[in-house]
Amino acid sequence: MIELLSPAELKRLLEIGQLSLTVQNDDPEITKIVEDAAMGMGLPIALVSIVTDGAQFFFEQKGLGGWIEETRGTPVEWSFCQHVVSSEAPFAVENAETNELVNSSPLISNDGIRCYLGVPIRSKSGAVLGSLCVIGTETREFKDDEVKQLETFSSRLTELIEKRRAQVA
Amino acid sequence: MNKYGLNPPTSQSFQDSLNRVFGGGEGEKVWAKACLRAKIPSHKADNLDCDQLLEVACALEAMGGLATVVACSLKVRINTFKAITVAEEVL
Repeated sequence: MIELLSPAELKRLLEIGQLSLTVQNDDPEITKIVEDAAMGMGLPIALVSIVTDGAQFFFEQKGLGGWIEETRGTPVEWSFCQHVVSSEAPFAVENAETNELVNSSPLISNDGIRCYLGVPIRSKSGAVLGSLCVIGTETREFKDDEVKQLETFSSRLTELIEKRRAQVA
Repeated sequence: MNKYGLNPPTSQSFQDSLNRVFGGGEGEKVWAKACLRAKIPSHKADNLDCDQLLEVACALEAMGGLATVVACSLKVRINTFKAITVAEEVL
């Protein structure tokens, strides 16, 4: 028996569609935010990851290579960003190998992810569409002011993403 | 099974995704419509390979709304399976 998605989850997915977040970003301001996030945290990878029912889609990315750059996403069960969406809160992973929420992800064993910090990307209505995140291949701690810095970037993303609603409509 | 433990996408997994979003009856209608648009004969629809599923996902993407969002997920899953399979063949 297939379990239907909840009305709230359907509304969230509908917003992703309405904001046209399933196609690659073409806004240079959003590209700049992602680049600044990676540089600000001193980490090689930053993503705007849109989390859907079965996958995470990288609406914008900095620093990915290999197959994952080509696919622009992964199955959702491998993603760290799913936990940002489900908790609607920042999610920090200082050592991915020992974090019980993510340590079964093959992105750790095969692709070397070791640290992660993601914050919610919200629509104007408050729905969490995905995560703005930074990723590294070494373990590291994240400070409160770094979480705040990423949240500031994410608030700006909300403004830019909402502009798309008018353009798409 | 590849080293990522990812199963190949199937017609059934596609239909399950649609049914989760649209509900059983409507999900089946959307599946049939996408197959028709992708020019997949109905008698072959239950056993599609990755390339055919990708064509169905593209047809789904063009429908708009929730179908487009489901299509995005399915395309990522197909392309991931294809990419890691190719990478393992090279090794």
